[in-house]
Amino acid sequence: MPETATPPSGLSRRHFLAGTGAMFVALTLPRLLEPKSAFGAIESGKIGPPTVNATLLDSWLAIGGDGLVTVHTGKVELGTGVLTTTMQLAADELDVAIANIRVIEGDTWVTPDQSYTAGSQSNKVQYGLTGGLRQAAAEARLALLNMASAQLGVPADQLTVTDGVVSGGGQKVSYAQLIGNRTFDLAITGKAVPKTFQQYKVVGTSVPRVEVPAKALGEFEYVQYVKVPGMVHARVVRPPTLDSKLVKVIGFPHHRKPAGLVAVVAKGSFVAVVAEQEYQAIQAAEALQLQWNTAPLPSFDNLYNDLRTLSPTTDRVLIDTKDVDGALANAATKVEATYYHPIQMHGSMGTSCAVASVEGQTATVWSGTQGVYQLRGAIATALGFPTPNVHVVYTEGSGCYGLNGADNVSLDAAVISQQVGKPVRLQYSRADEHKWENFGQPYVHSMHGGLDANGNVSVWDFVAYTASRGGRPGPPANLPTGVMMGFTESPLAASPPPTPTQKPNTVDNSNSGPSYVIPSQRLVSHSGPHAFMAGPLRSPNRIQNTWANESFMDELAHAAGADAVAFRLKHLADQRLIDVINLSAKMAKWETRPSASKIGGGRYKTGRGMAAMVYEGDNGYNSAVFQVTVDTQTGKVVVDKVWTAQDCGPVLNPDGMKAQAEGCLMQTISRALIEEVKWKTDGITSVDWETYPVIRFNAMPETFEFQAINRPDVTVMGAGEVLITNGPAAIANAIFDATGVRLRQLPMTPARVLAALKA
Amino acid sequence: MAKLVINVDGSRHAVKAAGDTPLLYVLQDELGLTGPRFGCGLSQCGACTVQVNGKAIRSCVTPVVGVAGKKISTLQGQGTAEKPSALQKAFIDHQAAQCGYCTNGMIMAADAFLKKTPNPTEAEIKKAMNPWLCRCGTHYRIVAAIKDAAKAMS
Repeated sequence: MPETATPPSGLSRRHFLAGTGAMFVALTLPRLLEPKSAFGAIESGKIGPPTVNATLLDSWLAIGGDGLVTVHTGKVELGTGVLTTTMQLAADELDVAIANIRVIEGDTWVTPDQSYTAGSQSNKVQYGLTGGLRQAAAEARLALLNMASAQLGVPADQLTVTDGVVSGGGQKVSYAQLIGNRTFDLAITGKAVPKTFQQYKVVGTSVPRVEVPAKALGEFEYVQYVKVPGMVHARVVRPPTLDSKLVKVIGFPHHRKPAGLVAVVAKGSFVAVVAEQEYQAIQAAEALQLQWNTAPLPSFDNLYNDLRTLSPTTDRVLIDTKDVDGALANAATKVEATYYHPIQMHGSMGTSCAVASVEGQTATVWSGTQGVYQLRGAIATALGFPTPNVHVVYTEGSGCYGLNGADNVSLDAAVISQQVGKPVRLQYSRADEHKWENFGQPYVHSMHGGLDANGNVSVWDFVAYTASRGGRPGPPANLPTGVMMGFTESPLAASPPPTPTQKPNTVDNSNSGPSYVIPSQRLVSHSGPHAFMAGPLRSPNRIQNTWANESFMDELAHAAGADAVAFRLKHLADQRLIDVINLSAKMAKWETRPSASKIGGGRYKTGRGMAAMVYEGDNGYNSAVFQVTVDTQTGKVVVDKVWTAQDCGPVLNPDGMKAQAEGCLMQTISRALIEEVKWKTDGITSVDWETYPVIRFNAMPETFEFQAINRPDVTVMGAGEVLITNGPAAIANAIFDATGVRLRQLPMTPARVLAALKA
Repeated sequence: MAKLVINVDGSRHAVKAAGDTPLLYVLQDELGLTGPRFGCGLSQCGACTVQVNGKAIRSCVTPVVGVAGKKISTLQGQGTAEKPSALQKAFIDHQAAQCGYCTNGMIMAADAFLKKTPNPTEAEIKKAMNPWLCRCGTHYRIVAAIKDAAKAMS
C-alpha cells in the first residue's frame, strides 16, 4: 500500500496527502466501451484521442458485421427522451429499424464533442441540417448507396433501402455486407442531402423511450451502480460555508480508527474519508473532527438589497433606443414594479455519484455530467494530467435539470482516487447535494413602463440585478470543490460594449427582452459576485426574466383596462407566438375581460392568468393559461387547471414532448409556490426535503391539457424548457385575477400571499 | 458475531456488513441489486423503498439486523423483461419515468398500497403516493399507471 493511503488512525498527522507515484499501470478498458465499435484511435489501448474528429464520418457511427448500427452522440440521455429521438433520427436517415441501433453517449474516447447536453439544444443540434447527427447519417447513407451501386451495377438513385438492406435491379445487399466491421474512412462532405421531415416515418411518432423498461424493471445501470474491481467508497466532509478554510484535521474521537477506514484525504479545504464499505465511509465522515475558520455568509434577509448594490458588476446594455426617459415622461399612464426571484436548487432526487479510477498518469471517470469534454478538462487540471489522459464516460444518473452535483462529485472522486491510488466510488449525502450544488441565480427586476393615449405600451424600461459565481466546468474553480481545493476562480466578466438594436428579444438568449413590439425600449442587466456557486438551472435566467416580463405585461394590461390575452396579441408581430396564444386561450375557453374584474365572494377565490414567450428568442414557443384558487384565510394557492400550447417546429415524438411539458408543469408550480434556498450566516439551512420541500402528488392540477402545433417545414426547437418558463408569471397573473392582489416575490408561499391580501 | 442472513426475493444471503448498516447498502453494494437506491438517507424521498413482509419500508434507515428472518422483496423480484409485474408493465406502457430514479420507490410503494386497496380512486392513489417524491414531474403518468395496474390486477 502506498504511503499516501495510510490512514491517520487517530490524531491528525498530515492532512495533505500527495499524489501517488509514477508507476504506469496499463489502463483497463472501460466497461461501456465496445472495442469493436469504438473509435479507431484506441488501438494502442492506452490513451484516447484528445478530441474525436467530428469532421470524419467514422466518428459518428459504425456498422457492425451483424448489421447493428452504433451511433456516437455527444448529446446524452438525462431522462428527457433525447436518446430515443436520436435513435428515431438515425433510423429514418439510414432506413434501419430502431431495434438494430445502438448508441454510445458522451464518451471522450468515442463521441464527438457536441458541447453540453443542455439549453434545449440536443434535438435542435442533432436534427440541424449541418453539424449534427442528421448530416452525418445522411452522409453515411449516401456512401452506402454509392457502394451498393458499384457492387450491384445499379445507379444509386434507383436503389431503395429497407431495414439496412439495399435493393435495386432485382438484387439485394445489406449494409453489413457493404461495410460491416470496417470504417468508412470518409470526411463529411456536406454533399449528402438529409431527408425532409415529410419523408420521415419514425420521426414524428410516439416511439416509446428505449430505456424506460430497464428503469421500470430495476435493471437500469445508473452511475450510482458502477462497480470497478478494487473499488473503495468515499464520503466528503464539507466546510460550514464555501469560503471557510480548513485549519486542521483533528482526527477521530478517542484516537479510534473507524472500521474499514482506508484514508483521510485533504487538499486545501477539500476533505474526504475513504473506507472499504460505503456505510463505513459514512460513519467515518460523521466521526471525523475538523477545525474550520468559518467565513460568514451574507445576510439572507438582505439578499435583494445586496443584489442591487453589488460591486463590481458586469453590466450589459442589451437594447437602448435612446428615447426611454423622454417616453416615460410623456406616457399617458406610467406603471412601475419590482420583482424578486429567489435562489433555487436543482434538487436531484438521487444524490450525485461518480466512480473514478486513477492509475499512474491516466484516469477513467464514470460520470452523470452534461459535458464529458468540459469535465475532462477540469479533472485534468485538478489531477495535473495532460487532457487526453483523462477518459470521461457518461453514465446516466438521477435527473439533473442543469448543473446539479454531477460534475462536482466527478471532480471529487478523481482527486480522491489519485490520492489513495485505488478506484473510488463517491455518492453524496443529501445535505452534500442540497448545499453544494451550483444554485439557480437570484434576481431583482426593476421595471418601468408606460401606455400611450390609446392604451398601447409605448415604453419599456427593464433593469435586472443578479449575481453569479462559478458555473459549468471548464475551470475546476467553477465548481464548489475546485474552490475548496484552492484553484483560482475566473474573474468577473468585463462589461461588454452596449449592443443597442431595434429588434427585441434576439439581443441575448436569456429572454431579457419582451416579445412585444414596443417603440421605446431599454434593457440593462447587472451581475455581481455571488456568495454561492451558481449554475444553469432549467430555464436559467430565462424563467427569471420571463417572470418579470410577463408579470409586468399583465400589470400594463390592467392599467390599460384591457384583457390580458387581447392586450398581448395587439402588441405582437410574431405569428407563431400569436398562434400559440390563440390556441391556449381557445383550449382554456378564455373569457375576454380585464383581469380582476370578476372577483368572487367568499373564502376561496378562483381566477385565471396567462403568460407566453418565445424561448431564447428562437428556440420554442409556449403559451400557458393557469387557473388557480386562493384560500384567502390561509393564503394557500392551488393550481386547478392548466392549458398550454406550444410550437417547437417539427414534433419529433408527440408523447415525449407531452412528457416534457408535464415535467415542466410540476416543476414550475413547485418553483413558483414553494422553492427557496435559505441560509444563516454560518451555513445553508436548506439541507434536505423538509427544509427545501418540492411539489408532491397532492398538488397535481386536476386538469392539464397540452397541444403542440406541428410545423414540419421549419427547424427543430427545444421543448424541454418552454412551459416551465411561463409558470411563475402565469400563476401570479391568475392570483391577481382571483383576488385583485399582485404578487411580486417568489415563491408565492401562503405567508406571502396572506401578507399581500392584508396589505 | 453470528453471521446475519437475509432473505431477499426468495434467496438467502449471508451479510458481511455490520448489523447496524442500513439495509440499502447491503442490497446495493453486497448483493449488487439495482432496484432500491439512495436518495436522501433520511426516510424523506422513498427512492430506497423495498417491502418487508409485504409492507413498504425505507431501506436507507432500516438496519439490516432488524430484517433478518423476514421476507424482503425488491423491484427486481417483481418481474422480468419477459414477465413484468402488472405495475411494471403499466409503468412501461404509460412511460411513467423520466430519469427513473424514483421509479423503484413508486412501484414498490404502489404494490404495497394495491395489496391493501385493490380498487383505489384517483384521490386515494395520490394520497397514498404523497410521501414518495418525484423531481422530474412524472406524477400524471405514475397515477395513470397505478390505476391501470389496479384494473389489471383485479
